[in-house]
Amino acid sequence: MINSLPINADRICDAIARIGYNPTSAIMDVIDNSFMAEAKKISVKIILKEGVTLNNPKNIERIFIVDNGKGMDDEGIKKALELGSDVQYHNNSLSKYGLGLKSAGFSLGRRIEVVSKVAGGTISEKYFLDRDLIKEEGVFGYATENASETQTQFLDNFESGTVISFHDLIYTSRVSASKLMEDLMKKAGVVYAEFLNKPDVNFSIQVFDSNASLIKENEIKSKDILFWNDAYNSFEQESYDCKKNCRVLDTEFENPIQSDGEKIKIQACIFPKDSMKNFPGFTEDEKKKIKEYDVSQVNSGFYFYRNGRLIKWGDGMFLNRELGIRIKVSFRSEHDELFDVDVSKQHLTISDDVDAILRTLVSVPRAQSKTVFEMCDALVKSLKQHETEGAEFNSVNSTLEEDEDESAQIDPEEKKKRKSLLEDNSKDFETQTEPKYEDEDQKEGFRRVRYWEGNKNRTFWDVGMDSLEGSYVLIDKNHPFYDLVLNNLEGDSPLRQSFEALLHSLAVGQNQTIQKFAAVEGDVVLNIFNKFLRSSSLQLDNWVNNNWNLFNNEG
Amino acid sequence: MKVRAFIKDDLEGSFVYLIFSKDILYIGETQKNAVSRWIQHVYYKSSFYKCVLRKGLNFQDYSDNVHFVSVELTEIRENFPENRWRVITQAVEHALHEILQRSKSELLEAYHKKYTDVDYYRIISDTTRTAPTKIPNSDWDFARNYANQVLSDVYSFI
Repeated sequence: MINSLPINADRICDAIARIGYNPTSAIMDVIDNSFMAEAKKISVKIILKEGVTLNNPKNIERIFIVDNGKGMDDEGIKKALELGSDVQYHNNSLSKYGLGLKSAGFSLGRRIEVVSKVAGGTISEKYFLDRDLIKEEGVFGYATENASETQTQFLDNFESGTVISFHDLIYTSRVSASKLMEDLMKKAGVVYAEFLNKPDVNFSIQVFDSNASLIKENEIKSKDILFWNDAYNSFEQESYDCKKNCRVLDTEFENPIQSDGEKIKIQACIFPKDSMKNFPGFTEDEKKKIKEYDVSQVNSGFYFYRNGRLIKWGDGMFLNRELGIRIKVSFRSEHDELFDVDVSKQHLTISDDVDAILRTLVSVPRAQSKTVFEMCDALVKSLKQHETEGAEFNSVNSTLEEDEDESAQIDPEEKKKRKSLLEDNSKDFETQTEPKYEDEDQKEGFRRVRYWEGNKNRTFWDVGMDSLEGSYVLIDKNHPFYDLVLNNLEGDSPLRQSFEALLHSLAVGQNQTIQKFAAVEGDVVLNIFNKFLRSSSLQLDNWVNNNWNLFNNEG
Repeated sequence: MKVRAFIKDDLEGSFVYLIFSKDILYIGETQKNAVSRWIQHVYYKSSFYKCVLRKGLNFQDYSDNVHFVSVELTEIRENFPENRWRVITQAVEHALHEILQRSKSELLEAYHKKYTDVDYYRIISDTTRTAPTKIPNSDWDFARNYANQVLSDVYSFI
């Protein structure tokens, strides 16, 4: 036997309204009921105040949520308006505490109205909870009136359905109709992805002016935040191209405290860096796709779905600013003990057991995500270097003359033959080693200095001959001297350009010697230079090994 | 007098081992025959000891009634070059954690029901920092399949 105590109804209403809803999460909490009522058509109708624009802050007069679900009879409506309604929820319902409509509704406005119709029935009266009346009378309870023309019209075309509306709106932020619409558009497709995938389901948001004229409408489509269907099947480092996301986890785990029940599903995808949406080497379609991923801190982390409805968006949990990984954990009502969901359905507390399981299962995917980001960085760096390295020298020296040594005379025919030998040598040399610098067509002007990574001769530099423009030097980025010295010098620095000038001069000298040193056969001179290049490059390699600390490099 | 242990094999090898005590399980790896030095894996200053303390448990409560199972991963030594033995063993060790975190029921049935009066266990070892980060998927496929075989053999053995 207990003795009852008075309840301050108004303060209770105030308290349940302040459990952490924002306008979007409050509206979605009410929409849960529409999906549970098996509605196929759901619309959020935002009515503007008189004389405002879409973007004015605090410009909303009323909000209606209309659905064509099963509807409620009078008893059902009264039950729905009770605090902690004692409704028997079916398996895997989105409802939990019987507080959603009231707490979400009172977070939006001081008055909640409900009008409903069941199949074969008539439209109900308007049932409403009004904070002012509750305060005045000191009792929690509903009142009724005739349904308004607007509410009746909304239900006229449906065999059954419900209209919930919020009036005397409470503004705790400078929210506007356009901001609310944008937020719902961004989130609702992810929150209800599973429901919106069902056939014939239509979910729209409409904005009306104060004269009830429709001024904006958008449909909300299902959105898979993992982009699972587009993803590569797995992350294969050897062939990954930084263009798409990869599936890295697709499994399920037992309920650690009730192993014979339904298992909890877990999936994860890793994504390329957001900056790849601007990578010049990708097609417009590829860049557009990366932009769609919207890889960011806010979108990374764990997505917890309860009965198909998103509870928590991108929870970082134990991840440390790991922007490229998204993990979807799907559980059911029977797992509620492991994932303690709050009344506002925005937060959950995970049990230690589940935390340990998640840490183990995402350990490898986290490392793979890190590798993907490193690969994106390397790709950007490599393109940047191939595009620009040597550009300063080439630009400054676009008309550099190759002064010839006139002291030695050579038969013009022999000179031509030797020039041809050099050109042929360059051709073979380039095709065989597949240099990675960009196509000739893409460059501006002749590039006397070129950087590449395709050198199989292991020489620091190699020499080419262009039939029209003359000599050029190829500098090997895989040679240790590049790593230790050149790579540490900015492209426009005098020292870098001096090195480049020195190497280019060696190339010119080599080509001219091969062409003009008539005392020895051309191909013999060429072989001598090749040997010289290998020997001097090897020596340079030795020097690097002995002077690795010169530029304060580690190791 | 009774013979309690007998080892005549080479001490070198890739091993994973499981330490059972009441409701806790520790999984480790070593490149030396785990059984030959098993006491070092269980007693003071061992990783097992540190993990017990890290979980806020009293070591004395867990040091008496211990079962130690060691499995030599001979296929690693046969199929991989020497410089990869350690990393593949660590992958198998991590895969064991993955499997036993995902599903505890089989081990509960095979071990705990038989040797203990607990119907729940928790894994106190942690491979999230030691799991290999740069091995290809093919190696993970090997490690996960192999870890399943390891457990299957352990279940039969115990």
